[in-house]
Amino acid sequence: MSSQFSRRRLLQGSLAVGGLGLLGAIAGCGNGSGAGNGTTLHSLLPGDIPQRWSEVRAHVNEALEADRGLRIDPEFISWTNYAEQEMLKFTTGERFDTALEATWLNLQQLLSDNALADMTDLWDSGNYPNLNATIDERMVEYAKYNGRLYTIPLVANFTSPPGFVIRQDLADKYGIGEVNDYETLERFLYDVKQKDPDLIPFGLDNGYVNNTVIPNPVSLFNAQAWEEANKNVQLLGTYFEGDGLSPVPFWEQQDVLDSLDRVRQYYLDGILNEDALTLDMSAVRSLFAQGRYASTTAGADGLTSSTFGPVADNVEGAAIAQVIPFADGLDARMSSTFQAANNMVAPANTETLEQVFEMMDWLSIQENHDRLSYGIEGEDWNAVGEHSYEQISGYAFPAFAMSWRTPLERDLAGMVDTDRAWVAWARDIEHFYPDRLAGFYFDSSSVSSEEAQVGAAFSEYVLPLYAGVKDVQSGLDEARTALENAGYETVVEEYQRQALEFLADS
Amino acid sequence: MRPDRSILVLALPALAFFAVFSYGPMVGAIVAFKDFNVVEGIFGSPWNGLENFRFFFESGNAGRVIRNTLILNALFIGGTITAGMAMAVMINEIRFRLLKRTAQSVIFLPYFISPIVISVMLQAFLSGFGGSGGVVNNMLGGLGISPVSWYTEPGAWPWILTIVKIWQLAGYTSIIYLAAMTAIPPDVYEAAVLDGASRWKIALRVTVPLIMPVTVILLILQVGRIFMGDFGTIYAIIGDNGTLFPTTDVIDTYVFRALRTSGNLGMTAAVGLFQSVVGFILIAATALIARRVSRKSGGF
Repeated sequence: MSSQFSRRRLLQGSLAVGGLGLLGAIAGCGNGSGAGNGTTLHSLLPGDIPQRWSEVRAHVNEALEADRGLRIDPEFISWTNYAEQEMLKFTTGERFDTALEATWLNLQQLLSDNALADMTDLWDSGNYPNLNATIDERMVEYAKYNGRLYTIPLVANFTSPPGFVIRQDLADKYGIGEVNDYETLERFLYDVKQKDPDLIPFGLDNGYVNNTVIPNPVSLFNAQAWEEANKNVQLLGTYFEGDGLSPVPFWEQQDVLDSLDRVRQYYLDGILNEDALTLDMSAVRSLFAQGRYASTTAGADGLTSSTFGPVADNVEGAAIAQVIPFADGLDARMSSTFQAANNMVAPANTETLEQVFEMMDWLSIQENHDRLSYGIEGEDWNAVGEHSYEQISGYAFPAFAMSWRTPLERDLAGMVDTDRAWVAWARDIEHFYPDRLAGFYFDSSSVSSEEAQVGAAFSEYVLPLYAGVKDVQSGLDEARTALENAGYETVVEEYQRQALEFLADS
Repeated sequence: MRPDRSILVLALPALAFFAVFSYGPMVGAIVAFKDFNVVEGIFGSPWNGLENFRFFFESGNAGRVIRNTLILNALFIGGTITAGMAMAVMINEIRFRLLKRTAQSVIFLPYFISPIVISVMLQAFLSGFGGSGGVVNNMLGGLGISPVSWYTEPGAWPWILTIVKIWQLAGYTSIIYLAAMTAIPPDVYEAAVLDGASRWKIALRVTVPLIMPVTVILLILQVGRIFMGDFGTIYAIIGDNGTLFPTTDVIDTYVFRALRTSGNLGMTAAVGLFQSVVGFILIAATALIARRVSRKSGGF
């Protein structure tokens, strides 16, 4: 009896402890960060926690609290889970103040579901002059959805068209000099194949397969697009032509067909790597750094020198150059949808939108922008001249998700000249003119089944063609049949209908 | 004699765990029948009948991806159970204790290797730098056979993936079998030795039949998940390589690829529900068949 009693007591005790633990755990799941209380702003950011984050955050918060009475406490979410985690937080109504959003994340769905806070009045209020001054008004206008602003566009360069980084030392060795047109680029690729057979002339990765032939408005191996960068192909390789926006699928666009033949020939001639569909970007970059590729993809995003420059450490005499596919070079102007690749958004039920604007306004001052983007001066970076900096620690903040402001961005010291020149070009909005569908958002909710099916067919049948892996003629027939069976026409017709409505209203 | 009910309290933590993490979330499966809206949430979104199921079953790919899922899983299950059992029998025959323990540890290691690392290792083996080299092609070259562009040859991939799964899981499975072997009474082996059975015969006629119940349990557990593709491994290795989809695209990879841009929770839940219902039916059927077979044979 006594032993049974003590066992019961033991079980009851265990249960009590377990129950308290469970209650504690449940309580811990609540809003413990103080987010939304008006002083500490909780932002969702992608990636790992930056090195030295606690020091830099303290440094930023000290100044932010003194100036505006606010603090920041971002949550870093792994890139691989960011889209799902962010959507889950919106769905469950978890309290957070801002998040990175984009058309390549969940922006479309969040807009059509009215899940985002309307920022129009605060933007227009005139109370945030630094923010207004550092984000071009045209970017803001084209970011609007049904005439209202739900996103703050984060922009360093107005666009960074896909281009090339090439081994300039090889181009010099072959007597080519600067690569400024497609003919010279092709000569460079075939010279590498012939004169340095151990190298692969161009390293393509699975992320950039989409950019080989479809002009948007430029693409890597579309020679016609180099000459005239004004054709923006929109949806699933479809170009909407004329006033009636007649859809022209990619298999009926002559420049795309020519480019597909060219890419196929490159694949067969060994100009392109055969494993493009399985190789990711970091693998290609690593192989470039080891001197195994003579060229690969690099946009005018200001990162070319720091990303690809280390090849000089591994290959004696190696030098790089940035090549952007415009026959007009730095005089080129290109059409743009002015849709920022990255935006800051707030949930519709937010109570801290004014504080978010205060923080964004504060970050729009050079000194504060530098604090968050580059870290503590003297410990993480040193200024070089007025607009450059050298990095002296491993601190790397995802500035694109919070603090990108075109006029405040600094160049990394030691950029190669071509990289610096193209970055300057990409930061000048006068080099871009609006595409007629700039500001248009496609709401695919009424054709979501077909869109999903077409998307799956696209990666199965079309991407191998873009990588040159499949025979063009038979591959196009297969792709066309698969896309049509999946509902391609339904999706395109809905897009056309909405786009025409948009043009009629604008 | 009345059973001591207080002992049931011991089951409460497990019951609470399953209620909170397994049965409770099942309520969310209703999103499969809803036109999901982020603001209105799972319960507030309007019903839309079977619309979410249309995406998968009208895609024209349903037949192919279901077939691939079943074929690949059947190969994986058959391969890992057979190889695991064979390895366990072999390790059981090792008499040196240190060697035995070392072998157990070594064969268990691949279980902990991430699918991403496996994918990189496989690329080195099959394609090497540039996609046309690799260890395997070098060996084929040594035999005078032309190199194969493995990553554009869908026919070979069910077998390549099966080899990968066996390498990854056979050691883990063999440990389960080895644990079961320790329960076999030594006198059974002594009797077999007295009857003049060779070591091969003892392994085949004594060890294998006595560990069959474990095989049935492993089979039941795995058949229940036969409609779930091994997303982690297959996606890490195949990725978006469309040329291999004819033989490697399984339900999970198809759904992920189709919905990663739209992130439609309703469609994802619809396919997940379909997989779970079929899995439940299969697991019940397998358990039933296993019970009947074992009753007839007097075994499990």
